[in-house]
Amino acid sequence: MNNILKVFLLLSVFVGSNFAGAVIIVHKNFPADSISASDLKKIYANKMGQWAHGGTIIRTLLKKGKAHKDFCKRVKKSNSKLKRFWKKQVFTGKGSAPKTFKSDANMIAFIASNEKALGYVDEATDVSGVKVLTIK
Amino acid sequence: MKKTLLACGLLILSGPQDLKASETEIEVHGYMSRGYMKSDKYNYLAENSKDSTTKWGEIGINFGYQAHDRLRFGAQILARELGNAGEYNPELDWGFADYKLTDYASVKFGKFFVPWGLYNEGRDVDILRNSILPIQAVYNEDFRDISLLKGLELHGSFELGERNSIDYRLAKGNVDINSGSSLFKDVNFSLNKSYSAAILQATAGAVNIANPVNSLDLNINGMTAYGLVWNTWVDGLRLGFTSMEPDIDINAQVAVIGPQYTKYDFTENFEVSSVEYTKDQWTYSFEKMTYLINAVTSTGSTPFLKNHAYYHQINYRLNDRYELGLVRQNDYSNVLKGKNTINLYQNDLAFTVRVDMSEDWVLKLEYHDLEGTALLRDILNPGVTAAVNQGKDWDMIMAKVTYSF
Repeated sequence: MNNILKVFLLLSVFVGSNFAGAVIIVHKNFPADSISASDLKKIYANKMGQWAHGGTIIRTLLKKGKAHKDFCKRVKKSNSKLKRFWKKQVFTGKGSAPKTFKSDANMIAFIASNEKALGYVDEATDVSGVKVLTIK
Repeated sequence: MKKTLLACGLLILSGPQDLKASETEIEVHGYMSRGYMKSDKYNYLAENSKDSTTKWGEIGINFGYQAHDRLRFGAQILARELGNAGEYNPELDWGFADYKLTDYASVKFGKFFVPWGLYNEGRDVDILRNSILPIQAVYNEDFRDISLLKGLELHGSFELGERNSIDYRLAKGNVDINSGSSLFKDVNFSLNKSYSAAILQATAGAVNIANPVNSLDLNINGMTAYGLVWNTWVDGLRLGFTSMEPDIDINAQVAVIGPQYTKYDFTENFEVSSVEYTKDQWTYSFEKMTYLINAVTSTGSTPFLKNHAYYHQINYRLNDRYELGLVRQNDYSNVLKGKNTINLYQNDLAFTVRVDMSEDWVLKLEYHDLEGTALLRDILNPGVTAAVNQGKDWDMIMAKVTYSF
């Protein structure tokens, strides 16, 4: 039984190490070090549009990739539903579409120059120049 | 007008625009659709759909501007065509200023979609849903003019718990009924028919005028509408209820008879109850609509139309490219007269394949298996009656392609 448990744990670690997750990033002057999972979901469900410290949140999305898939899971929407949801916000006048980027580097460059921006990149990406937020 | 359309088309094909304005940006988005429909027996939705028609499309340009943390402006110019309606004349589809008062309340001023079920907003943009058309049992194309209100709306959301909230809307204003719209044309057609018969009868057959209505004015003033959506603690489940009273004042100048006034009085509000449940790749929706209209004239108030309609829809997303949809809808156009006569009911079983060919292009193919003729417009099917028709069973195919950015 113990051996089975060890094999299972080893397998979990092995699978985990190959799963590229997303890390949440903001401008380096962002006043907090974490964001709640609930707020993250609300921001991308267009239920929260302002930062607690002031200013309109600039949302961003990656076009595709493992980090994008992981991020979609975090905000509880599939890629297609997330994109259709934002098209609906735009075409009903309820909100601005998130800025979309083809690569992590482009997203980091945008967030590094926009204090109100929120985004995510692959956890293996070099994030110097922006701040990584932990999820509470 | 062609130059305007050409300019709109070029703007759409040039892709997303961000026009710098002060510290923020004016965002420009748009879409362009073209459709095809063919029915095997009746003209439904558009002239000549029985013989097939491609006179069906939309061009929309959309502007958004976050002027301030609390103030947002939005507008959409739409040029559309459905049969002979619209003729691609560009007009303001919606446009409003939205100011956030508190975390729980915002106020909107301008022209906007009324609270009407879960899916009235964005009804002109087919990429926002699985089916090609908004589901006609509840979002009847003939009532499109009453789907937009000019006025004021208080709206917002209350958190009831971690995953439990209520969205609310309370709107008041007036509705424009365009003389080129289906609703206006249908009322005009119906009044001409009834006044023509009345004149013929009153003059013992001496005066026969086919179209005695010389001028017609339709107005909805001071309408109040509200809507509630409960985003329940069950992940993916939301319940909605909307209500409005779109009483229509009808003033007609009729040959021989003179000025005539009628009011379509919604003695039972136009109400829609909704359920939507999303789980993984599946989405289920159910909506039910009811209303009762009394015709009020100088001789009194008479109940003349009571509608019951509902639908069930299931969508399944296979992957990022393909989505399948199945809808069963039932419309009983006037239960005061019954439910079983061919022109008093319409049942529709429809199957849709949606293909997201890319982020910008969507193709949809749809098949409808129909029974009954309640939603057919008299003006498109002259001579079709409960007694004279081509049978209760018919079908229809549709296809539509949309580019958006």
